Amino acid sequence: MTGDILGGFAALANAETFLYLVGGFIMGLVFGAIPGLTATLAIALLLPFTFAMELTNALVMVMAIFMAGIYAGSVTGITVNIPGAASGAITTMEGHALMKRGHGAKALSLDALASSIGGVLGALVLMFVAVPMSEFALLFRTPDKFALVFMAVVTVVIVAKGSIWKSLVTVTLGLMISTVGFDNMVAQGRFDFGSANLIEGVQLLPAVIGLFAVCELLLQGGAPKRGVLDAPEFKVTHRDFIPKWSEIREIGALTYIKSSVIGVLIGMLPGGGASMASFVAYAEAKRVSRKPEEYGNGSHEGLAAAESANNAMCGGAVVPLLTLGIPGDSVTAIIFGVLLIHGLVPGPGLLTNEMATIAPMFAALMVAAVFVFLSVLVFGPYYIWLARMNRGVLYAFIAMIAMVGTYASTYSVFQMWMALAIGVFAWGLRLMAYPLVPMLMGIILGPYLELYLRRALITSDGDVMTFFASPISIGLYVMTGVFIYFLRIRAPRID
Amino acid sequence: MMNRQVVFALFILVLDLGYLLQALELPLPFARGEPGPSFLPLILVVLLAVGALGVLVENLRGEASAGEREGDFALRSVALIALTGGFIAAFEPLGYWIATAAYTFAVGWLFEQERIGPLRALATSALISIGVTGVGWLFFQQLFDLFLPQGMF
Repeated sequence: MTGDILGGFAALANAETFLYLVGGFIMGLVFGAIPGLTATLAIALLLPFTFAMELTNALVMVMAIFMAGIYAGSVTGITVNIPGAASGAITTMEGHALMKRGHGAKALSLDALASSIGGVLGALVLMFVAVPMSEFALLFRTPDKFALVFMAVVTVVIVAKGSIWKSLVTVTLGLMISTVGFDNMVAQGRFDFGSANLIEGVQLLPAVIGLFAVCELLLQGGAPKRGVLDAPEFKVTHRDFIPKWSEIREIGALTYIKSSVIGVLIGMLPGGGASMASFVAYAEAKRVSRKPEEYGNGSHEGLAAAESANNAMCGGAVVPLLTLGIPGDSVTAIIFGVLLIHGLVPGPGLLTNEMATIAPMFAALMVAAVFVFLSVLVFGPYYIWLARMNRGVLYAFIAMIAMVGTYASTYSVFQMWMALAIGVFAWGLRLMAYPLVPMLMGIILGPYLELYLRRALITSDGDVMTFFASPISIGLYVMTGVFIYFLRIRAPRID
Repeated sequence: MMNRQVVFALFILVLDLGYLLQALELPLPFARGEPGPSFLPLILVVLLAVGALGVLVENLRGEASAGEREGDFALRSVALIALTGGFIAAFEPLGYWIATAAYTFAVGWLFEQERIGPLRALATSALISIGVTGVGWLFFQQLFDLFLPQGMF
């Protein structure tokens, strides 16, 4: 295993692969930082290109986008008080308070340092936990696999923000979409209205493009012009971005490590995501802090806790995808698609059989985490300009990549129409404040949920007790109950 | 807000009904000794109905989550849908260059006109169109060697 991981780092020494890493990092940085754009959108737009890429390059690029995109969500939050992504909301609260007091460079450097530490720790956990977990997952039988997918679906519903009913609606719509097309188990077409295109089912690419790119474009059509005229003065030099040792000691190693562990664990949770990671780590840091009164007014500790956690989440989120075949959030759901496109099926056997292929992904995550800190030293003084990106250029580019990308990777005008139709429907859902991530998870997990459900019932002659016959299944149902209790009934709150 | 939410929940219920009618055309569960192709769909029909009714009741009782933020409807979004539909229809007949240049010009103009006014936006949108279409060609055809239609002209 160690040899494979070292081989992963060696793969990054290839000039072409390294360029993909840097390109992905910059793409993630720009998309993560610009309000309204996200790492998910960046990876969704990249998806059509991955058809033509070598797998290693595609995985390396995706990981770099993921790490940089999650980090950059806080950059414009700190500088102009508009977080690039929801995961940057808490950092925005603390970081922009520092910015208004003239400590913008300090906020950005502590933010980047915490992100790097969290990212590296998350990548380390991924490297050392993934293989043992994958070997354990080989013990799973069909009813256990059903319990696992069921847990993922339930967790996705309960962790979504807002109304749980809306979350239930969208995950069910996603599951329904996954039932369209040919049923391999009994050779029967379903919900295809006799269309030769629909008999293949709804492909992942138009679904992802529709849900994240087209929908975002339409939402931005209704968004007012951004104003950053009241942005604070931000005249700094590169040297100002080197954090002071006294500030790092004041935050303390324990804050970095504990927040990173929280981030990794939440990342492993289906539907967890960066927002929840930063929120829980921040709440925990505040709970044990000796200076809780500083929280909300520019607390270094609070900022570091939130950022360590949301970047550590990246490593954690990849663990269930690679070991169990369960994507933890929208980004890993799209990575799931990238692996499928290249003929790799995420799940228990993947790391056992393809560790050498996957290892560059681990290495890329760690190197991208280091890049985060280096990036603030290089680009820090120019970060404020990211919030002033021209919307005409941006959305014309997104519209072109989304539509032409769908065509170029499927050679099908029908799939372009499909992406538009899903995008318009998703836009309607977003206008009504329905969450979209559960829908994507439904589309991806649906075929597995149905396969394991039906296969378990067939092999047990319809005996439903088969779902509760093994300790693994029972353990997974108990975990589902625990998640419901702690994530919905007794969810953490920030006072 | 409440009315829109209720109407949308009813729309979801109508979709659910349509899906149910299609599911009922499939062999019934366990009709051939196994769960069959309609087993999960019928469970999903119930789940979607529960979800939509939950939203409906939540809104009729005025218990909708205070933290929820609805998106802003705008005619520009409708224009974007129409433009994208037009682009898809014209993509193969007109080819990548003409269709994409026209599409990106129009999308660029929709966002630029609010910043610098409709007339000046014509000029900047033309530049955006040339730049974005060129970058797309470089990426898709030159860098990744993907096929783009040439059109009839």
